[in-house]
Amino acid sequence: MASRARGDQLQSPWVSRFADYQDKAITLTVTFNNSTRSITGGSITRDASCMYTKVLIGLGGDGVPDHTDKVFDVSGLEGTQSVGKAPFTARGFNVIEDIQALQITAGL
Amino acid sequence: MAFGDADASTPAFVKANAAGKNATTASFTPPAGALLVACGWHDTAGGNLTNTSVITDSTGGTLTWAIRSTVSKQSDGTGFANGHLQVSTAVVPGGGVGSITVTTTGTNTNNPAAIYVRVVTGADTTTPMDITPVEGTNTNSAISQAISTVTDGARAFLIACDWNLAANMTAGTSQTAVAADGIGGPDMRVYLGVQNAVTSPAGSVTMSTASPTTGNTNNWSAFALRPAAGGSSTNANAENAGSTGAANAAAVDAQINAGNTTATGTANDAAAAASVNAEAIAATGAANTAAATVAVNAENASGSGAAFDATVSTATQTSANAETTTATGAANTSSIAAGPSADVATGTATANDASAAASPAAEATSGTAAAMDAQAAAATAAGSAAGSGAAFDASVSVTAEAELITAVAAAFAATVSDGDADARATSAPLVTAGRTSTAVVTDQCTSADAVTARATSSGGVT
Repeated sequence: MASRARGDQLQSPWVSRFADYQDKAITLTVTFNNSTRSITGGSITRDASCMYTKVLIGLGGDGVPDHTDKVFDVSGLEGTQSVGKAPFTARGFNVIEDIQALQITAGL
Repeated sequence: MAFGDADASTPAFVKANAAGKNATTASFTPPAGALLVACGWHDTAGGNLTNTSVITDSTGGTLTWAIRSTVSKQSDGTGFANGHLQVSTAVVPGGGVGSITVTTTGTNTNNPAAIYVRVVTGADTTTPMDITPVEGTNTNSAISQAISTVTDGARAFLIACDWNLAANMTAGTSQTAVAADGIGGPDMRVYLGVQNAVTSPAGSVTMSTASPTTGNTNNWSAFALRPAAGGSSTNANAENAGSTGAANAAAVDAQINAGNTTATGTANDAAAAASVNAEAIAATGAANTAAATVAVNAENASGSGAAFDATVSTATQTSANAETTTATGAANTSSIAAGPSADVATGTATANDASAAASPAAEATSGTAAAMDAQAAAATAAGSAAGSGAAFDASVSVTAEAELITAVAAAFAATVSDGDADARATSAPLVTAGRTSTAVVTDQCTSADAVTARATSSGGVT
């Protein structure tokens, strides 16, 4: 992530990495238009033998992240998979701030 | 696995920017007895002097969280930087807690928050923090904080935040970043680093970041976790997979005790599993002696409770094998010594049954080398040397077999003192003079004992 000062607006891409106990990780990258803030796509990378298989955005109605309906399930993925704009839109994410308004983590 | 490493059940780092000013881990199932170390971060408004945070969980009160360190302007004074971080711990009870979530919630903080819960096994659950955490602050600099551990094998950590949002922090020398990210828009950098190895012997260790070195305003806390008494390492490996040098000795010293020396509660089961292997899987070097010593004791030296059975199982917990299943080298002697006893040296209670089962074997199942002697020795005694109680029957049952089921060599002597002796060459083509199968029973051979010399598919027996 580029060096910035507090108060500066986030610039594309937005990257979130979640590592397991052996430092095997799932990484979500979201690209967006810096002016309009509209999400244009992204990618998900999952290390081989990473324990985590899902990127969990938000919470379920019971407050449990695992029960959120905003899930990127990458079970079986080893390596990088491109994600188009549509999967983000389908999950209610149109601008980058839509994602940043929620919590994000990884799960089994 | 070294003490302080994250258990496999450790959930992922969580970052949030929600109106609830909280962040919640995904579900995880920590093992019973584990220490949970919750690191929470919360952004604050500039100059905020009234911010706090609290750790909660989904167990409904089973876990008791203790705050170990809080760094903020409210907690440490106006000389510290903006931003809020906190370290809390809880111990998973013996019955476990099942699948849980853990949440950090800020009060009078900004929305951005983050949490990382590290599950650590083998910690001192009474005094998990080896030292009082050392807190600090600086600007336009990397972080460097020296601490002095007091317990051999303690593991050091550094938690920090940069409110001025310079680049993500990187770990200092001999350390690894567990979490390094921006939270919120982002609005604040958060960091957790761990020393790559335990500190042994106890003493000074410096926790640090390597970058950034400008444009930041940091708060931090350096702390160390204390291992449970009895050791900090459970793995010792000496491997030489690719070179020609010898693989040196590997040694493991592990003690698992369920002790209740002065209280009235029961000392629950203590279990230890140890395996020591010297293997030359594909090399030409010899597999040197592998030795495993396991002692399992149920002792009640002065109390009134019963001393429960002490058992040593050679089938699953203790084994010493010298095998050359495909190589041409000889399989050297394997031996197992096991001697459990139920002693009541001075008390009045009955000494219950003592039993030992051991079956060492020297087998050449597919090679051409001879199967050398297999020996089993067992002695059981019920002694009442100075007491007035009866001495019950002592019995021993030993079977010694030298078998060559499908090979052509002779089956040599099987010898047993009292019991069955069976020397078989089941499919040997011919047993001739000089290749005599002998079964020998010495001393107190009764009608219940069988003495057999067999050559079932040979051309004859001489």
